[in-house]
Amino acid sequence: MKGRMNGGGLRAYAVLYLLFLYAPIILLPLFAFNAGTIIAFPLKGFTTQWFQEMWGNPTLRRALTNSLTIAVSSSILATCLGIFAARASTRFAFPGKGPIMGFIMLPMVLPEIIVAMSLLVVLLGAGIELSILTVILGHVLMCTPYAIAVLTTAFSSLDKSLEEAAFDLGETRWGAFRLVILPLVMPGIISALLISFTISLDEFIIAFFLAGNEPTLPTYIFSQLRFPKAIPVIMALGTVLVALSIVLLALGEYFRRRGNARIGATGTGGLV
Amino acid sequence: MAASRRSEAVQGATLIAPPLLYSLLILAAPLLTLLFYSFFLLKTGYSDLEQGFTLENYRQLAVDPIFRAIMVRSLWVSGLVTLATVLLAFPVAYYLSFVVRPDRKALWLFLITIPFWTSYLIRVFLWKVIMEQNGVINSTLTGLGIIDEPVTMLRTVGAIVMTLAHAYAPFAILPIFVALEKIDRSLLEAGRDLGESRLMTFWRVTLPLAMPGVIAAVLIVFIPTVGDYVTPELIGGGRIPMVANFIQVQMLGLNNRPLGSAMSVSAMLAVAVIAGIFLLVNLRYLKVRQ
Amino acid sequence: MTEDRKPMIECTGLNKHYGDYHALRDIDLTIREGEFFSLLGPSGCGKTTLLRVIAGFEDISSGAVLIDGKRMEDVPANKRPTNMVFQSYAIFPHLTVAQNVAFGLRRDSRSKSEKDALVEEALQMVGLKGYGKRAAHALSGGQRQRVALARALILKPKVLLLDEPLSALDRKMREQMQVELIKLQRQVGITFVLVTHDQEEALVMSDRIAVMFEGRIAQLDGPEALYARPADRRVADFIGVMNFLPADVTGEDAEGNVTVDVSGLGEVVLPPKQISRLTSGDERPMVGFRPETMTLLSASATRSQERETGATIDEVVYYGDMTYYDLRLDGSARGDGNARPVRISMRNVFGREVQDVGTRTRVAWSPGSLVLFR
Repeated sequence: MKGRMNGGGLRAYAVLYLLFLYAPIILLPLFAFNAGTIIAFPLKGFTTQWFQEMWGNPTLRRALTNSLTIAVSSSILATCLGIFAARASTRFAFPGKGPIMGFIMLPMVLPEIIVAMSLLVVLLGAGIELSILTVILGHVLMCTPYAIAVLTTAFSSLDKSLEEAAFDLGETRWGAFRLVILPLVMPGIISALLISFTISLDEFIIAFFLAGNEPTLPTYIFSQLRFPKAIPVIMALGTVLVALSIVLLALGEYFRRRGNARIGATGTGGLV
Repeated sequence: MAASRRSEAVQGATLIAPPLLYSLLILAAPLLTLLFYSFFLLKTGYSDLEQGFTLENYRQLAVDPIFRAIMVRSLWVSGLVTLATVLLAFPVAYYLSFVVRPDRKALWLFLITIPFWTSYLIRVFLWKVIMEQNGVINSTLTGLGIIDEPVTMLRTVGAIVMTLAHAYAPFAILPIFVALEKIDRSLLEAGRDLGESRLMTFWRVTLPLAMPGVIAAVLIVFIPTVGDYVTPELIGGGRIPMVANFIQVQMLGLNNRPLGSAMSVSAMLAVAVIAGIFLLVNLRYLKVRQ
Repeated sequence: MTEDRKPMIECTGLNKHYGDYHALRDIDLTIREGEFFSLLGPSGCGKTTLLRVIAGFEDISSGAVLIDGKRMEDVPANKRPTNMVFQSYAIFPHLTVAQNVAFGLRRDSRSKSEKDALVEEALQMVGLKGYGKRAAHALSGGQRQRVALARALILKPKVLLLDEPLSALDRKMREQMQVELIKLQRQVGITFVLVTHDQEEALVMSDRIAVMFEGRIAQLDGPEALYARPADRRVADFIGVMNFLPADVTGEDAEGNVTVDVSGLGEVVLPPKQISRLTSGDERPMVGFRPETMTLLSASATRSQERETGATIDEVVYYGDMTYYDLRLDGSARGDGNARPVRISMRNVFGREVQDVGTRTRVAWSPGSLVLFR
């Protein structure tokens, strides 16, 4: 069954491809701890200076607070909306289901610039002041489709008769949801929260256009790119962000798998 | 749970209402506003004037050679990115599906998706750092004495294509992988059994069956890259603007929202038309039920 | 018998539509207290829908369902005196065995220790004593089934509904569980309603069986009556094996006794109780008989009420305990050039030799075992 003959060549290619994927990211920690101010080889020696500068920067701290506020709010709201949508699409038939779900998932493929610009036009037109609140509005829209994707997998792997069994055994509909459905999809919910959080934390375009004068981590990074002297600090910040993303994703994946193991399901399938 | 069809529809509609309302409010209403701006407003002096229905904004775009050039370039660059991404991704998806042991697949998928979940901005910025005049590649090459003068890499279409191909790699791998996984392995054995060579089996059985995944990958890469803002800005250095940059300039820089709206609508329309044609051309692959 | 017991489930004029699809048609059915009742039929015949209507998971388009004398239209599933064992067992995977069994007791006012005792008792009843602390998702198919039974029975329902409960088990396990279910039903004494597509399972377990086709009950009878006197040709085909021979009706007397000329068997007179209906699509009357009602004469002595016919052995299929013979009856070919052979079964008792293909033989049969479909 396996193409053993071309397996070796393919494997080499796949490994090269992974290197290509990771090459830029590997540079982050390398230069974040590099004593030189120019991002070029050879390395100049080890330092934690950039991390200290990063920590001492008040604008950066403000950006961090903003980013965390936005990411926490967006992920919770997006996951709540995602639960509604995933439950509706996996359990019920209703008219217009396909187009409605397609429409809600649209931000996954729609160019962000258009989402950001149209929202900006409306907000400005309505006289609403730009703030982290308006960023949250946009981020919830961007994160909801991903939350739905994760939650739909969680909800659809549930046997419908589990819910019926709970109902049959005397529980109310809400009781059946709370005692059976919710515990079983909880890993999916945590996974959706983590993924939404990561997306929001890393999102640039909407934050750039809708935040007004408030900095977020990505917009702060963007504003500093013009200044060569600031690059090493950005490297340090990037290292922290990427490390955080990877930890959150690994956690999300862990919860998703634990959820599968718990209900005895097997199967691969990634985060997308 | 004595649920008739009707009450099931009501329950489903009730559940879908909150996310749907949110999308209507935050997505549909703004998009419709863009549409309204582009057809009913004109920039005159410092304010936007309501004109009644007008095609003036679209006329301006149609006659503007700069906009046409930018539009064509955006579509061309996106096309190149899509081609490069899907071609580079297919062998990886194939390797994942056909060669990697089942218990290792999850790990590989995880490894491939991780870079995607790290900040897009930072990844683009890193490519800039890598390709700069005094950046990682040039400093390494001159340091090793391979070249004397630094090579210009930034501000080229090639650099944009590579950066975007890197950014959208998982988007291409995952749908192709899913399509390959769905292929009944006995079909391939049947192909071999019927006397086809390995290559011909791939060509006549595997590839057609993987086409739904390839088509999904093409659309998923092509549609958002047309509207990419960060890469032309950072890697193109503003020299190679694409539609997103142009829209931003019109909307904010020149404060011409009607024209910016008309551009957004035109860009979405162009992408939709191209995606539609692409789907139509490949319809026969999508009709196959596996 | 259960004839004199009070009705537990009464369905009258039941209809169920899904859009244009007519899932249940004019179902009239009474299931009595303490009865082991089966709904039997091929997939899509409406048996599961009927079970779910009784459970309260599906509403009805017209008609009435009464359980223990009370109308059920407005009673939701969680308030009905029925409990269900699901086809997939629907064991809650995040709970232990004991938590699963105790699930329905949550709203009960009894003390924790009383509930624990009930759980232990229920587990013992299904042969899972000491399994309480185990994780439910680690159980085998048979064990899940038992947990599902204990979970439903602990609530002392008036009716236990079982939706294809044995279909996921392998053959040996299935046969074992059939016996256990019968014992369990006798022990608890409540009404069991079983949905199955396996006619053998229904025959083994049930007091009475409703055979369903296309949303209708085709026959409602005890297992023996169902087997020996199928109401129509389709029921006969669905339950066990039956041979069909073309027949011509040559006369009928005032009492309803019908004289028929059966291809290969000759002329017989059949009383009304041996006469059933044809199903639409059949053109000609048929006479049917079960494989075990015809005997190879070389193997047993003739008895007085039996008749004899010559035959040739066409095919021999050896099953260990049984041998099946496909026979070509003498004279069966007249007028029906391509008449199919009939199949008979012989137990392989000690000293009885298995016959060879092509052997000329004689068979004995009794008119009393024939059914006329007209």
